[in-house]
Amino acid sequence: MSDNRTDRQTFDRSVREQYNRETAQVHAPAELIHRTKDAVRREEQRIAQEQAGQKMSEQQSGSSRAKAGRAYGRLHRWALGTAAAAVVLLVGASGLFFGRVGRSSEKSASDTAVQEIASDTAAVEETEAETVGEGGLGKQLGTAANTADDAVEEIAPASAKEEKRKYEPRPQTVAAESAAAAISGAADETTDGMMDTTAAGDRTEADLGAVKESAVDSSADAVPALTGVQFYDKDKNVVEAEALWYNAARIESILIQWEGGTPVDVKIFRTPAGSETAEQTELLMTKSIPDGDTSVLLDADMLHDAGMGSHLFFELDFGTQVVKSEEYNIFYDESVLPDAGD
Amino acid sequence: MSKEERITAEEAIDRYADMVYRLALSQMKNTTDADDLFQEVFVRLVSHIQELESWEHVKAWLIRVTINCAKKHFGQYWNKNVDFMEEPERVADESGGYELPEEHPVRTAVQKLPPKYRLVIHLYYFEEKTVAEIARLTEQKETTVKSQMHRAREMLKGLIPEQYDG
Repeated sequence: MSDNRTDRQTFDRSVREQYNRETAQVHAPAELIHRTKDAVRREEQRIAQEQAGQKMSEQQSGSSRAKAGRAYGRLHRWALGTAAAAVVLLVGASGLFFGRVGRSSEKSASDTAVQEIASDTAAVEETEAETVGEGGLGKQLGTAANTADDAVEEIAPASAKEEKRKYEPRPQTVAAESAAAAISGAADETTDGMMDTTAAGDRTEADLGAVKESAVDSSADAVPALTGVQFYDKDKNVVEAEALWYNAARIESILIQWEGGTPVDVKIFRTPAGSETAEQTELLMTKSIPDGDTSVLLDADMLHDAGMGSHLFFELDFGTQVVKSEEYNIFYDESVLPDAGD
Repeated sequence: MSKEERITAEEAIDRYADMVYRLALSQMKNTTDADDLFQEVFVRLVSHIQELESWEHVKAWLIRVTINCAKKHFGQYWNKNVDFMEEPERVADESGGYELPEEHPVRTAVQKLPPKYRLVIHLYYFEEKTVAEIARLTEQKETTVKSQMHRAREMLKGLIPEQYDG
């Protein structure tokens, strides 16, 4: 028993010493070290660029929040239109009231004086109505309560923005624009003459109903979605997957297409192949997207240092929603390139 | 550590290139794969260098990541008791040239072990890690590591030329 242990220890020591002697003779080749240092420098540069990109992305996310705010604000603006209609109705009602007051007080004042008083009082009423809008509707809508003119101004750029995004004209958008024009007209009438405002108010109310419906319908239509991802080689030919894997050595550019709005940015992520690698996912690139674009063509240089197999996916940040693509399997093998044998 | 001794990936390469390369070579089936693994480990280090507070941390991190990357690379082969050496190993010597495996009889024998046995032998013999440290690095129980060490030694007895056998 003791002999066995001694033999084992002797063997272990002997093998260990020899293994260490032999292994100590092995050194990392100088060329490999040089190549690795180059790769490390490239990675450092990539990370520096990524960090710069993230800073931009943070700024963009500020803009994203602003976009989201605009989208949220649009809902408010329709409601503000309702507030404008309420103003119109109240002013109309007060106009009728003061019209009667004016007619009943012929003894003490001339028509002109009554109209002046009525006009002044109407201005007060209008202010009060706005205050009511803030206090009533304002409770629901936050502090944003504008006059009818402001509401119209808000709606108009929204329509222009819709056109800028080159969506196909939708009936609802047209209806929204005409309704906005109607509100504008109603608002003008409100300032021109109080006696006509009841009718104008009715019309505005009807038009606002259409606007509300169209707002709901058009938001239902515009669902952000990723419609396509294509990889292209240097000759602009589509790179197809081979057994569900794309060779990144062939890929020179990536085309990403979407619909339902313009994303703030497009992000490319890579996860190493294998199990339990999710936490090793790295952000390869962030590309800001100009308003109105429906696609982006990206340079695929960042895929050309892929050491081993990995999974690629894309995220489109639409401000209120992030759309994620499916995962694309990629590997890097430049031996397949035509000039690889040179 | 003083501020002057800032940890950089390039400095880490200078310090630990041989260690990582030897470990990579002990795990991969050929020098090409070992080269790839070597490069991947140091490129990954760039992203984590700021989290590592000392060179000891860097060393431990490099060993751990080399092991994990090798496991990932082999995937399903990892737990199979198969002979990995599909081609004669050629290892780089100090001058950058290559030596034939016959000059490394014990290493050649170790290379014929299944990867998990190779790993514990390399860490125990060459890196002088304790069983507990190997257990932590390989995320295994100490008893499992001991068992692997025992089996590896038994297998080596049949593989190593007689002159090294006691």
